[in-house]
Amino acid sequence: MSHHTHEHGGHGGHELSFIRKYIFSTDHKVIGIQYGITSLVFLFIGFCLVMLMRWQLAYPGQPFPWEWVNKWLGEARMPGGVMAPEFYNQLGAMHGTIMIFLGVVPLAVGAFGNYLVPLQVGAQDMAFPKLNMSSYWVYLVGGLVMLFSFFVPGGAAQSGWTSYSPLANVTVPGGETFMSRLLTGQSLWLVGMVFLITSSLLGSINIICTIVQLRAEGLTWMRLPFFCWAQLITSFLLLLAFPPLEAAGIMQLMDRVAGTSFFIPSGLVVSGKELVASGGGSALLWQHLFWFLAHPEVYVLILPALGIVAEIIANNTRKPLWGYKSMVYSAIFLGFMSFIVWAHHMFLTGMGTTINAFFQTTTMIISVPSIIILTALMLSLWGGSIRFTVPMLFALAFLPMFGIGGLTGLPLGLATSDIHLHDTYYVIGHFHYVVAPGTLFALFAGIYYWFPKVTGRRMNDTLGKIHFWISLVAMNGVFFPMFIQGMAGVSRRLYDGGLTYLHAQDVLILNKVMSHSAWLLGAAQLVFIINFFWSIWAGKRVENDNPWEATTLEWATPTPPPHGNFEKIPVVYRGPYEYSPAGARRDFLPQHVPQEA
Amino acid sequence: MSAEIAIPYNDTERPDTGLYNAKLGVWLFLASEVMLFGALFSSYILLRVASDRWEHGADILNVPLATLNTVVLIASSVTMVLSWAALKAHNFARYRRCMGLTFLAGVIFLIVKYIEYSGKLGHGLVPATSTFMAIYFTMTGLHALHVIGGMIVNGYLLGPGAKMWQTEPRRFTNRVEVAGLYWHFVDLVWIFLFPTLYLLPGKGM
Amino acid sequence: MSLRAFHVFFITISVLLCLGFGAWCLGSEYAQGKWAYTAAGIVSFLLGLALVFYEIAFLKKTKDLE
Repeated sequence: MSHHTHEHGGHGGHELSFIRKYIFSTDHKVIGIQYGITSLVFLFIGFCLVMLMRWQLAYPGQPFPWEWVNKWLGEARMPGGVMAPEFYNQLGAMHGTIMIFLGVVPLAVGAFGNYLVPLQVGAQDMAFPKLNMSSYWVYLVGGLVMLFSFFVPGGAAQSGWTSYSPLANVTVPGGETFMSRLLTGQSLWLVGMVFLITSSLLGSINIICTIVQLRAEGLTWMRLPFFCWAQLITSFLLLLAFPPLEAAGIMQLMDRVAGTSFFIPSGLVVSGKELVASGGGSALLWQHLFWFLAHPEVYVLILPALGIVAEIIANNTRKPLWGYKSMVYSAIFLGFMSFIVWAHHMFLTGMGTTINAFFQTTTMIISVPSIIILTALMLSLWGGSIRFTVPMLFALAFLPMFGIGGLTGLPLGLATSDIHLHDTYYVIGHFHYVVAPGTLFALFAGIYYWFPKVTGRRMNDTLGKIHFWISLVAMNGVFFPMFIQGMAGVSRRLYDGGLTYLHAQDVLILNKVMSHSAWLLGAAQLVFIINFFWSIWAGKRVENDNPWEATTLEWATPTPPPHGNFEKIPVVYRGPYEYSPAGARRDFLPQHVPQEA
Repeated sequence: MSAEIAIPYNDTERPDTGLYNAKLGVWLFLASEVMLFGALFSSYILLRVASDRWEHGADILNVPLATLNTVVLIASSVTMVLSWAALKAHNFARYRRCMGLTFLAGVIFLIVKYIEYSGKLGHGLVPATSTFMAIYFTMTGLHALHVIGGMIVNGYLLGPGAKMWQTEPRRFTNRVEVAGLYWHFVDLVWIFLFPTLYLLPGKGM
Repeated sequence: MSLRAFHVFFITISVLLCLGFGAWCLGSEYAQGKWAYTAAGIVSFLLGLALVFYEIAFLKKTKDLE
């Protein structure tokens, strides 16, 4: 690095330059904040894409009412203000990609994992600070490549977030030269994914090493906060499930730029002409490699959320988590099982009933540990003196929302009922209930909960409650009608929302309900954004380092934690959730306090 | 570098895990690499089984050159482990000799690879020729990238990175061990690639 | 696993490869009857044997190297 311009601060100490401190920082907290801000921006971009799509779904063929948006997007994308079908497909594919790979995972693992894991295990930093820094920058490059792909000829990827071959091979193939083939939406999608996979590889190695190697004295495995367990298992999933997608990505990239036929079967006919290719490839191979990543990815999305919710519920019920150990063992089992359920996404590919039966069985088995964790969280509420703080509201709403998302997955996991529901809006409703009012609510809860530790100020309560209640109503307004449409048989990738389909006529009106709910949801997020920035500068200052009266180690640091985190290296004396212990003076016993004074 | 945080267990093992940080890190990384190459080998199997024609590697690939490269890589793993042993015996001069030889082996491997590739491309055998050639170029190309990555690490430990031997000898020895584990893995991948691509008979040709 | 252990594992696999390659040179339809391959097969077997001796020597010499 070329910036050796160290500034000397006013207090005589030798300080790092601005660039080393805030841009190319190796401090896990700064990197966590960088991840957090970037991923929130990407979440917002991904949400904007879908809000645009929802106009076309609710009012198919009508010009978009905001003239400046049409002008900005240009005639090619919005001819006469009406969305072009290709652009609709781009928005769909990139909404999924951005939300999952650039939004939720970097926020859940990159931001929360980076910021909190070293604090919760009592470490001064991550095990490999420089790798940690490069993980963020590689992620950012991957994200920028994805955004850049909107502006190449033919636009961004448009084969769905799953990029199924051979569709993804033949859509906008590019010209004859290597560069013209590389600078196409789908090829850049693959290049971007390689960056994101590299980033998550570096991040996950770091989190695992930090938890295994840098735990404070006395912090045995069964004293580890559930949040750390969730991050540990998530990291293992990222570590082991992503490489097969990387392999698949390399092969699809070879197909697109080097003319190979890994995923192109012999004699494929495209637009009435037989495709010139060596052939002999297997389209199904892509699906296997893709879902080998993408099913564990579902648990990457949900486990950190469960971790956050567990912390907040224990803190706000003022009692220990019910069944902490069974939650830990369930999460481990869940992580293991998530590697052998992938083909339940492929029941309709003709794999055969034997293979279907196997994957249907493993899918039913994996629902057991998820339900154990959810039940344990529910039972944790029993008999608690619940504080209805904003983070707790989000955490409480998470439970039924994730419950709906999980239970609606069961009919999809059974090969028979999946025949009817496959690729309908029911599927969209199912996984959005898991990820949107599920994971995103948990992440919001986490932001409200740890905001005082990061900034030294609380977020505004009233604005937080407005944000919560509107979001809760709007989320259900968006996603519940999808179940109804899906069961009516409306397919998931229709450009006109089903307008030209006879069987969709009875449920067409729901498109308007969903779209208006989505825009209301967007408005509610503005409240959050205002609250977020206003509270950074003008929020109520916290009265001490432990405003929620919590037990885990991150609250034993100064606020905000300085470089190196702890004033003195903590020693751990007890489990993570010693709330309302018998005979104690206060209703909580922090992990690092030897005994009640 | 001011305000540097001292991360524990960079030079000594943590008692309860028996590992220093980088060793755990590199094994996790190798686990991930196993999944990467595992996916490619699985793809090889699936494509081969599903295909009705498959070339015999020896017919169109250069077995003698590949054999030479196999010998080079096995020899380089020996020099790699000897360079680590030299540091353990506090013999820095021998370390430099052995590490230099390891680096040289990487250079030879890449030169041979270059000759092999240009021979193929010169005969019009490109990735687009057939699924076999596609997977040949993909797997050996990815492996060659891994060799280059290993050479960058080894070159660093031989050149600018060797200064650490003066300040933190234990940590430097650990770095060499970690680089050696990675280098051995890259060699091991080749040991599997060689028979799979060059020796296995074809079908339907 | 230390580098020492991984090296031993690697050499074991290499020995197997030497034996396999030797068998391929002498036995496979492709290479059978070509004198260069016959010679290569014999060299490969010898190399495999040499690696076994090397492995034993390595294990003895590096006993205290962990």
